[in-house]
Amino acid sequence: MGPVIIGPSSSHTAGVLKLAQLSKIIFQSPLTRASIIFYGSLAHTGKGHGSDRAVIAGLLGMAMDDENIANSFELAHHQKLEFEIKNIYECPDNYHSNTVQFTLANQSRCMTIRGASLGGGYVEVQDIDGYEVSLAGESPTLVVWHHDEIGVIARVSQTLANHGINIAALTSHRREKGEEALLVIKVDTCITDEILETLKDFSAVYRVLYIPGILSGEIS
Amino acid sequence: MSFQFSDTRDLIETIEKKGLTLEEFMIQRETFYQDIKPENIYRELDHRIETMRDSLKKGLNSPQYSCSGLTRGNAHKMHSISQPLLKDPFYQKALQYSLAIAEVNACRGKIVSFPTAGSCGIIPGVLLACAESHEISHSTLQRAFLVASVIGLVIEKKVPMAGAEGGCQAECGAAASMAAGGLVSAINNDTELIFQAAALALKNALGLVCDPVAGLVEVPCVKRNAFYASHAITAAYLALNGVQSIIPFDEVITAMKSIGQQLPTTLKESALGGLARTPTGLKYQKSIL
Repeated sequence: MGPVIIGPSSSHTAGVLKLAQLSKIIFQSPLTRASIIFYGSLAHTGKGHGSDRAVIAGLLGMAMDDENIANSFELAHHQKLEFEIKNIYECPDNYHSNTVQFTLANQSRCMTIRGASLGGGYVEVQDIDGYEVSLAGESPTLVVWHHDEIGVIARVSQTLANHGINIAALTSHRREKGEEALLVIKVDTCITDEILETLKDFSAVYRVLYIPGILSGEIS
Repeated sequence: MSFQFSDTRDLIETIEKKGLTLEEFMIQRETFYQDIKPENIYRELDHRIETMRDSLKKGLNSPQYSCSGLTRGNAHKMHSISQPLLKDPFYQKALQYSLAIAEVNACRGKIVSFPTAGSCGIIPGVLLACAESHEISHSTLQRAFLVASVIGLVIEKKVPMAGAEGGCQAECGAAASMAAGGLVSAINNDTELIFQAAALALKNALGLVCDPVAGLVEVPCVKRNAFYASHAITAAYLALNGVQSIIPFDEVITAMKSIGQQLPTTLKESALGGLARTPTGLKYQKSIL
């Protein structure tokens, strides 16, 4: 059953907000600049649906049922978040018809994250800095940026096993052998800070991100 | 213990094998995947039902006017005037309630996105009206919402519920199908009848396009909620009287998927065709955006 939201559209308002929330979580650092591109249907009808306000609300960490979503531009100004929103009407063939791309930045970090609003408030992050992923924010998920070398996956999964965590799905992505790689692990139960600290201490691990899942407490 | 299923047939086989009702299946499924206790699921459900009641009251008691001027407090008007055409309070209430909730959504108020925001009036409109008029218990109402959810899950296995992907058939059509099944369960909790109602409702919503004026969830979306509440009641009434859909529910869903793929982008939530491109639609678009 869908989440409690502020209307008017689950895919163009609530879903967009959730994608922005997820992107902010993935960015994992204070945000000062955001550049957003709406593709396809979102570009055509986003303004009418309030997608622009919703996307900024999500980047500010507001909840789907926050009645202040309509004031998100003013709040962003207050919180010194610079943003621009562009519309690209022609949706590339391999993109979902409700696609949003985020370029998020602060002084030390810049990331590009692309995702789709699938309808009914459900979303999927499909690309993180060129890594093709699938993150829905529905189940607890661990994302590990690491150096591509022998044994990293084994050590990470061993650590999870030692703490009694069952892995539901694991995907590994890299652009080039021996360079940076990305590990996405969906798990069945929550991961504690202690486990995250252990993982961060591995020498090959650059960054660890934990998405607790069920951002807005919906039941399907 | 698996709670995966591919279609209605598979689902019905699974629940029969496990000896579960649809409601029990849903609760056990959520307990299993979300790792939470059944009482918490019912609490979450009640929170949503309460939110639906709140949006309903808001839409009925205070006229909802949207910034665009396209939504003009019709639910409040209908609620305050007694129109003698319909004698049955259930049917009248279902129309008023679904319209009221859809108006609140159009005016960016708080609603439950079930199954989507654009179609959020249909299921609560029908089920809450039924709960009042037929004096069904709270647990029966909870069950009706869970049954509607199961139907939504079955549809979503094949078609994403978004106007931009499947047209309005995947929003108001799906909502009417879910409402019809939920309504049947409140009157006669028979799994076969529930899916007959779901099939009848969806079958007769195939081809429904998504062509909102100015891209706003207002014209035709808001009033369509009242129309498809009525549609859901028709389907439930037929199914409860033994009328069967010749085409099974699973095949209706597959047909909906294929129709959705064949629909041009202009008729899938792009405001580039249909009502959005009528002279009046364009006039509003120009004045609003």
